[in-house]
Amino acid sequence: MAETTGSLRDAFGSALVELGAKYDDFVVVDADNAPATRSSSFAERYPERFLNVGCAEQNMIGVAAGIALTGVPVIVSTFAIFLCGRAFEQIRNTICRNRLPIVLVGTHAGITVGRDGSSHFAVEDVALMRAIPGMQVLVLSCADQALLMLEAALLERSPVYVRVSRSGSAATSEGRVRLGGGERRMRGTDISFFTCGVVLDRVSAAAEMLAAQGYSVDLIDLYSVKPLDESLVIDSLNRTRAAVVIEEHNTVGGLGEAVMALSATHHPTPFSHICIRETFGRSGGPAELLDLYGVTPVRIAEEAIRVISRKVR
Amino acid sequence: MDNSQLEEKARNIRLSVLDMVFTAGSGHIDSSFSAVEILVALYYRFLKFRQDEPAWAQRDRFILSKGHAAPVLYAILADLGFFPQSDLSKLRDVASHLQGHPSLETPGIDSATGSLGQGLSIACGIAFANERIHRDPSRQVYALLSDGELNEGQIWEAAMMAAHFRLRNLTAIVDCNGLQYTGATSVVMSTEPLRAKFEAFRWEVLVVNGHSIVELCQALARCADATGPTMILAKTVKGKGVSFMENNLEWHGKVPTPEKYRAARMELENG
Repeated sequence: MAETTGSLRDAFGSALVELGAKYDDFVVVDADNAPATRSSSFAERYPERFLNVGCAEQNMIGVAAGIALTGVPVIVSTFAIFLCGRAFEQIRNTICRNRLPIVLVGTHAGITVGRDGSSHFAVEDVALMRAIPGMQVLVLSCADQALLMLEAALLERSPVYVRVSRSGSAATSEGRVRLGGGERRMRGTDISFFTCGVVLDRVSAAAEMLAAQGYSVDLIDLYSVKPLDESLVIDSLNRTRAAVVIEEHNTVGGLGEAVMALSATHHPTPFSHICIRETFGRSGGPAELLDLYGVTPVRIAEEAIRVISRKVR
Repeated sequence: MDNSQLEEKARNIRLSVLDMVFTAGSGHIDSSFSAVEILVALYYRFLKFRQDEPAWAQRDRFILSKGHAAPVLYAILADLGFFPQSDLSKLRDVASHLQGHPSLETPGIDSATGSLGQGLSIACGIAFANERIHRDPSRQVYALLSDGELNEGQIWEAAMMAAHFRLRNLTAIVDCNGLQYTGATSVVMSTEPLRAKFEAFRWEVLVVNGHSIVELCQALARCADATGPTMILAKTVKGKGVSFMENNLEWHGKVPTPEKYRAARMELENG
């Protein structure tokens, strides 16, 4: 599959500027990464509301917290692994313990960063952020959601992590975006597909393949990983009784485990989990990498059929 | 309050700290004792606040980056009327707002702290917001750091930033008692030469006797004319005020026996 358009980081950059026009109270903080994260657009438009602290993520978080403690909401952005990894404890101890109105945008998440290689990827970020008490987690799946997602996060006035890929998805959406929400993109009864992020395109392609073979897929974009749209997930499992969860994240602690835990406690269902399994990744084209690690429409479809055969009648 | 009244206040704060940690059976007396005069000078002479309106937007702010000295801060906040004195006997109690390290649950606390190395960044953020967002140069922000805490790299990130943005309404104080948990700072991880380091980071540096109300107040008064961030290196004694605790590594985070408690109390009462 060719790399799709509609770069999510571009969508984030534009959305940030639009949001800045709608709400005049927040500021944006960066750690020497604005051109890459696209918060540079906001910096150009609203220089007096933008702070670059240089290449110092831990200080960035403390500074953002200080600003927020004076009553000013903050949107912080840098690469997901540096934000969630290097500054994890600062996020936990200074932002979350104070329960501050801060949106943390981790860009270049997953492996679709591509050529820079694994030092700059993040397959652990959702797990890290989910594990913090009180932190909510949203994953941008398509460009159309960007403004709504950022706005919803900003209006929470409490810590929210928003995961954004460097690459894009062709998917469109006219749905609402809310904390604890999800979007049903296809209605079906044979198999549930739960996903989020740019892999949505591949998941949709797999659903089309299955449709051509006579299967009907219930395809849900669970862009809110924490809290999950529990009633939507359970409703889907009720209809299909078999599920595949697909994410651009390690096996541990991401959307997969979140959904499977919900299933185990509320609606036990056979699952397959397609993800970036126990690897940091490597340099390559984004599409090549997803192919390399088995996140392909063909494999998703094959797994779906396999799980369907394990259905409990 | 004149200087001798502030000194008397310091003595009473030490008694309060001793009592509350002994009652709690947990807490850091010696780390608290080295910071008493610093906090007394700040809270009774310099800081602008409203105890009946702790969230007053134009207040000065204080970040206890050295969060384990919380007992001193709690004693002062109670004395000033932010919350009832009787709360102090419930330090670290499960039903109490007085957490082991500062949290926003306690009225008068400006930020949760406790994990060393983070408070100067918070203070920088506040100073930046005061100056550039709220455009209110009257708001001051102070941070108290420990010398051991200067091992943390994040401190130096914040120090760089403060100077880069010429945050003139920011004053940091280091409680230089020469000891950290595992030994003397000079032995564990030397941070000297501190004055030269902070000057190299383009801070204005003042060095004072951290137990002299006079010297502390003179230094704090000078910060008003600063053109950038000010660092006050306060030379202190860990455990100051109780002879058997002074400069004694053994007393880090240690709670006295009833016998030692009585001995300590007697020294402070007569001191």
